[in-house]
Amino acid sequence: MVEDTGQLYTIEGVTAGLIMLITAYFVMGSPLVYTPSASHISDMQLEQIGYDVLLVMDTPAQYGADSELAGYINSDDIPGFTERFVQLVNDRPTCVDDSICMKAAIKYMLGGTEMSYDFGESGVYTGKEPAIKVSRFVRGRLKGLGSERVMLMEVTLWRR
Amino acid sequence: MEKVDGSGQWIVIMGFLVSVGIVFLAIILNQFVLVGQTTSEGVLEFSKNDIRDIRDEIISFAAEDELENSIYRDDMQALALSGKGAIIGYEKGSEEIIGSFTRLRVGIHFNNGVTEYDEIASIYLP
Amino acid sequence: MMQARESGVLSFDFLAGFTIFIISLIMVISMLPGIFIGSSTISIDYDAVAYRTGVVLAEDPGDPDNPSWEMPSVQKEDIRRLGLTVSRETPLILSSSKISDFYNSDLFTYPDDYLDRIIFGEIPYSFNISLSYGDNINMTGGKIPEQYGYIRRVVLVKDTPEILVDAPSRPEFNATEEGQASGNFTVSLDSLVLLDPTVNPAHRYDPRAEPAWINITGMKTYLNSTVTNPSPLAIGDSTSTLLESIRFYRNNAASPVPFDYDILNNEKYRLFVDGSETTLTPPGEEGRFSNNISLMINPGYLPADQRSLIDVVYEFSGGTSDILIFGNLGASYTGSEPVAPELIPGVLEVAVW
Repeated sequence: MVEDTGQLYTIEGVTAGLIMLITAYFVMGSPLVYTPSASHISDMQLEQIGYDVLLVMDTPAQYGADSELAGYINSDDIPGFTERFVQLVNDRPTCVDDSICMKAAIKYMLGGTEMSYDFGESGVYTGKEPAIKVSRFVRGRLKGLGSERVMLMEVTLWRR
Repeated sequence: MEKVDGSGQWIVIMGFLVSVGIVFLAIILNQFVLVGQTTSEGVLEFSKNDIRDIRDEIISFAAEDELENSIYRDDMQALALSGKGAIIGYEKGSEEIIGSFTRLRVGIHFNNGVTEYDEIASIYLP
Repeated sequence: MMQARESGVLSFDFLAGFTIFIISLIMVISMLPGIFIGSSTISIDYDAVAYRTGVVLAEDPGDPDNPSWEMPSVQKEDIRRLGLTVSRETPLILSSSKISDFYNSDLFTYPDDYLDRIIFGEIPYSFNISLSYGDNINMTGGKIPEQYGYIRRVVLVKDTPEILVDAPSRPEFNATEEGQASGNFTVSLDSLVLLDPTVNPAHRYDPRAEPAWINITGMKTYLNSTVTNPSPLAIGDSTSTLLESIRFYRNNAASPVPFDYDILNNEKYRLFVDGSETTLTPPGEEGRFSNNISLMINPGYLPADQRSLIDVVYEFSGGTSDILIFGNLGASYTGSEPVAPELIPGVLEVAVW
């Protein structure tokens, strides 16, 4: 005495249930993996410390004196600058030092065109971590160029 | 003639509504994940350090009376455009004698498409 | 003929469909609370809070700023924000007196006093703030766990400046004519000279807010001794003399500023006569010296303001028979030995969890 009316009811109920379950499955199963690098937090930390180090190096130690950065540029002391920058940017007194690598270049204008002068690099190019660029205006005399000019020191930073 | 069976409509509609509700919640979940992203992107986007850098440089020009030097100005504007992606400008303002110092006003302008910064800075010269 | 069914009896088929639907609905609803498990926002927040705290400490002078919060005249309840920079125009240049007050556990206790003043908000974060420069490492806060938000800033710390009178290189304070030597020597701290607006606040000495060392060295050159003093007035053979007192005068007043001249008080000043510590009125032979006097005055205890002239007067007993010093040194940023505070690079690390 099983009736076969109302089969549509059952099928409709089952379909409705299946729709809900499949939707729930899609929602739960979709890969919403949130990684720290997606949040750009480490970029922000790197950028801030890069600008900080450039500012610290570009502040004269005494009234009327030249800043450290101007000193390195005017004397073309690329190894000295590289070592000092890497030391300042990685120093972490409370625990192990950081592992930030850098590559610096100075951009200047010559006769209307922009030229670039490499100014030191340190570290390995692993390609694993994102890199950011910080820049600061400096004034000085580059090797081989006569007068004092306004230049832009650009440093690319990344973690090893 | 077939009678279209209109029963069961409620069940399907309720099922459909619940699915829509879950999809809506899924969209909210999607936006939640971006909270940390927008915090640091907000910090990265506002060019606090670039504005400070340009301001320090222009004030050092003023201290050494190089505000009118057109070579410095052209170089700085070209480098700022290519290196920092910003248009900058500066002009010399009024000079007043106050006591034994001279107060010089310098107008500083910065615009990188997202942030615009204008200031009239006062600098004291001996 | 269709009759409206009023008996309220459900057919089995309907019941079966409806039951399946309800069971599925219950399962889905029970899954809903689990949707948000993967997106707890508190851990994302730590880095942002650490960054904000780093900015408040390294780029902000604090509130109140004028007079600045580390002065003894400012009460702790009025301090709304602890920032460490020298002034608003000098971000990343930190003041050493603000640093020592910030890390003074008698003034501020971890965590409550700091939570309201640098880490704002309702959530009670734990934190650890460490600042190291030169040989100093200062730290406050708890032990750092596995997961934490972090920011590091590289800063410059403005150290205590020195006002130096190095006798051999300062012949202008050595009496060479009759009647010049008076047994007194004055160091002037003129606010109008020292608060020079043309000098960057990072290179200035602010007598209202910063301590300074006043060092007189090589005193042998000023003694009344034919052996050490090239002056024609030197006729004796004294090898040492007695510092009778040091007094502070404000704006050329007739009498000295009220101060604890007889009491040793490390908070207000430190005086070293030939290396041994004593009061501003050294009793008896404690004031005898032959080489150097070092005096440090802590800010806030002298009534300096933006227009005052504070004279630090050294009185030597024995008049001209022992020492031929005279004159007035005005501390300034020009000249042969300018007042120049040293800027020392340091690292500020903030961890929040």
